[in-house]
Amino acid sequence: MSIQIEVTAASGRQQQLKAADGALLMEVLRDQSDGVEGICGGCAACGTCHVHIAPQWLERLPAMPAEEHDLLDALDVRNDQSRLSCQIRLDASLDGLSLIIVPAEC
Amino acid sequence: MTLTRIQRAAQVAGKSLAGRDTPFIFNEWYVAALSREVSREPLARTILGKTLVFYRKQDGGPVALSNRCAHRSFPLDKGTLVGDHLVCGYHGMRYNELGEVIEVPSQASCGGISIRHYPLVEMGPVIWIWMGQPEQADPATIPEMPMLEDGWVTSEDYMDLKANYVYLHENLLDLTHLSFLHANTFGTPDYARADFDVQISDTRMWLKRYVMPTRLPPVWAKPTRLEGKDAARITTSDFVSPALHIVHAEFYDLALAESERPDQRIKTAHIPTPSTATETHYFVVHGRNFALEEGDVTDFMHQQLMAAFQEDVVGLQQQEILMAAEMDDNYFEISVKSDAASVAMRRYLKRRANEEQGLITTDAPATVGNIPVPV
Repeated sequence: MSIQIEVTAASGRQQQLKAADGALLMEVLRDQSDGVEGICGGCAACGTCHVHIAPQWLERLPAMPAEEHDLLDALDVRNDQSRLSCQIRLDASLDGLSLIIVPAEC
Repeated sequence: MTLTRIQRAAQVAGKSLAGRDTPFIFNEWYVAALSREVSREPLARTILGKTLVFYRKQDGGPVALSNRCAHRSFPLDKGTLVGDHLVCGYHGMRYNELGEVIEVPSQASCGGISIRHYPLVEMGPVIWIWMGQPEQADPATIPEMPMLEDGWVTSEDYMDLKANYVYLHENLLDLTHLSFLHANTFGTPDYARADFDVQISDTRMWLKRYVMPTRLPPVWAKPTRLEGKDAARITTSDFVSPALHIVHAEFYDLALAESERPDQRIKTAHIPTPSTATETHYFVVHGRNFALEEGDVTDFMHQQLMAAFQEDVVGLQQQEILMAAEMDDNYFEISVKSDAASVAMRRYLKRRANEEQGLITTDAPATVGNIPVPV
């Protein structure tokens, strides 16, 4: 089955993306949107997949590992909605997920 | 200097990675020596920053003691082995195989003087040592070396690597480097771009790379008789423990159907035992399951492989020299996709070291093997 996600890309464009169950959110955004690079391949080491998740979805996401927490602290526009999309694997419970891709600050 | 997002992230991420400043992990079995290195001639060797002396008793059993005489820090390997006892070459303190002083020449009583002795387990061509908490020494936790257990033909060797052990583990978990560091030996240009899978658990990481179609380098092509053929070279880099990495590889002719392919596999144990922060005892045990009767294949493969591994030694030493010359606390490295397994490995080593330093506590002891073992 496919999962639908609502995305505001780094460029500002609004998108509805489809992703396979089990896909890594970072890879979906990297391949189908703009503003996500995923240089480190998903090990929470580069910060290039930073997104702001719509508040109502935050509690349904997998818990934040310590590495992700520390790394987000180093980024300029961290807020309560910040996550690294490489730490989020999509499943049916996330169908309808809504997020904003945070542009690189510099 | 203003850092970019990725630079700031890399700086933070780097703090969680083990490196040359990370304390050693003691509660693990490490390989102390090749069996053939330990004899009736005392051998001095530094392991995890501790100076040790090794010898064999008259019944052949290996012994490891602190190499430092309890009396005046004289190196015991400079003393004399008498029967099963080591007599210090300075003032003649006599030690038994448990490290207990049983004679002080200038007086009648020894008063319970002793130095530490270390449990050893000899398995095939290697001797394992336990450097950790004595009560936790359990031979059942010695990692398996499958090439020894399956009746494969093996050879082994030792190299003195003047670099930190963490970077040898890292080297082994990302074989992208075969196309570059080993361009003159067993790397091929297509290796770095080949597809790979990564598996990561809390304590074990592996990366499996599928190089096909490819032409095998001589070390594999000659003994498998796949020279000049379009072949598959499928290699798994498996971080088994802080003391052991095993490379598994299989080779086959792409023109043959699966049922027709001879089973041609190798397994190479790369065994980094830290000596000091900047030196590592690098043991290798290599095995194959084909051409079992051909002794010259053993010699050929061994010579070719060691030439390649020597390139790793040279490269890692060059890296160490650079890192030592420029010790800038603010320096950071950028990790890329093929580093995923090694980043996880270095985080694990750091976590283990921090646990032993009492910096963090965990609810449960680490367990090994909770993901499928690659075959």
